[in-house]
Amino acid sequence: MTMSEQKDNLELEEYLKGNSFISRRYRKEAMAEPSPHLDAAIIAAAKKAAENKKTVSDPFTARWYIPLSLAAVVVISFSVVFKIYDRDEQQIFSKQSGTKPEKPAMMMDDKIEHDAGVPARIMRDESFLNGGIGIESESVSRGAPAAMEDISPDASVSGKQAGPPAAQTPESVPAPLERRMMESSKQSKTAEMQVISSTLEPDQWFEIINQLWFDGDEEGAYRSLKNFLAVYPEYPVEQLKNKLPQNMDLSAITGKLDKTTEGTE
Amino acid sequence: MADLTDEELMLAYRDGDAHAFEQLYLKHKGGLYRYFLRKCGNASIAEELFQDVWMKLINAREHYEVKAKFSTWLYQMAHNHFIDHYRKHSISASMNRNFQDDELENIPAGNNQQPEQQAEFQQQMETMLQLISELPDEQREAFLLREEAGMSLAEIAEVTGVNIETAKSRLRYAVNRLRKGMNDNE
Repeated sequence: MTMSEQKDNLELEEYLKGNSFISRRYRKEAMAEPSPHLDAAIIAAAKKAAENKKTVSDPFTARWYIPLSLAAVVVISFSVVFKIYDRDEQQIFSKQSGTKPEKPAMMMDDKIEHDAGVPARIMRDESFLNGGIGIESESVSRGAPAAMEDISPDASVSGKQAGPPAAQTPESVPAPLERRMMESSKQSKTAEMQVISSTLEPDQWFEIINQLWFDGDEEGAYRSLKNFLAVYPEYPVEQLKNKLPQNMDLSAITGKLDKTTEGTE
Repeated sequence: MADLTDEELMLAYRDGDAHAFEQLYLKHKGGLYRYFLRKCGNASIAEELFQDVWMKLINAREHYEVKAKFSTWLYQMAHNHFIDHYRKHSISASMNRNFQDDELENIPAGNNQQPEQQAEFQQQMETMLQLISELPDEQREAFLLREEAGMSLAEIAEVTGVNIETAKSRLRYAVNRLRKGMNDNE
C-alpha cells in the first residue's frame, strides 16, 4: 500500500466517523426537499391504502378467518371419513356375519335363512345344481331381494341348500360364475340373471339337469329344466327327450312350467 | 409512537396505522428526494421517481416483513427504480444530468446572513454540488447513500449489490475527490 493510499484510507476512516470537513460542509448547506403538494399527495395515498386495509379486514374477520376455515375443513373431513368408514363397516359386516344390517323389503322367506349352516362349498355346488345356475341359494344366503324368485319360484327347496356366507372359509371363495351372480344381485337382478342364464349353452343345461337327476334331486332337475325352457322356449321337444333322462316325466315338467309361468306373471 | 424504530413504524403501517407512515415519510423524505435529485440532476424527474418509490412502498406494505433495516429496503427500492427508469428511457443517468440549475433553485438563502455571506454560501453550495455532479455514478451513489441515508459500508454494499471492498473503494475515491475539489476552490 502506497503512502497516498494510506492517507486516503485514513481520510475515509475520519469521514466515516462523521466529523470530516466534507460531511460538515455537505450537511451545513441548504437541503432540497420535495414540494409540499407532493408530500400531501403521498400521505393521502398512504392513508387511503390504510383505510382500505381496515375496511377489507375487520378485526373479527382477521381474527376468526383461519380458525373458522380450519374448523370447516375438519368437520367436512370427519364427515367424509365417517361416511366411508360406515360404508366399509357395513360391507364387512354383511360379508363376515352373513346377515345384512337391514333387511331389504323384497327379502325372501325367513325360513331360508334359518337353513344356513351347510358348508359354503357344498352350498355353492348344490345350489348351483339345484338352482340350475346357482342363483337362488347364493342370493338368499346374502339376503338378496326376492327378485330372484322370478327364476326360482320354489324358494323353499333352494332355501334348504342355503349355507353360511362364502367369506367364512378360504374354500368359499365364489366361483367366477357365482361371483358374477353376487354382483348381479346388487344391481338389477332379473335382467342380469337372464343375461347370465342365456350365456349357458343347451348342452351345459342338460349336463346340469342330468347331474341333479342322477343325484336324486328331482325337484332341482325339474326347476333347472324349467329355467332352461325359459331361456330356450323354442327348443325342440324331441331333442329334449333325447338329452334328458328317460324316466324323467316331461308332462310333469310341463305342468310345473305352466304353474311357474303363471306364478311369475 | 416517537420511540418506535423505522421497522416498527412500517409494521404499524402495514397493520393499518396511517400515522406511522407519516412519521416514516417525514423522517426519510428529504434524504430520498435528494438522493434522486443529485443522481439525476432534474427536479421533475427526481419528484417522479421519489413518488414512484413511495407508492411502491405503500403497495408493498401488506407483505412487509422485517428482513433488513427499513432504510436499506427503502434505498434498495430507490436504487432499482432509478436503474429501471433509465433503462426504460434508454438514456444514461450522467447524460441526463442538468445538475446545478434545478438544484440551486431549491437552495434557500441562509437566515440572518449578510448579502456577502449569502453570496459566499451560494458559492460554496454551488461548488459542492458541482463536485458531486462530476463524480462517477457509482462513487456519487456511495457518497449520497452515506450522507443522505447514513449507511455503513456494508449497507451501501447491500443496496448497490457489490461487496464491501468495492463500496469502500468507491466511497474513498468520492471523498478524496470532493476534498481536493473543495480545497482547490478555497
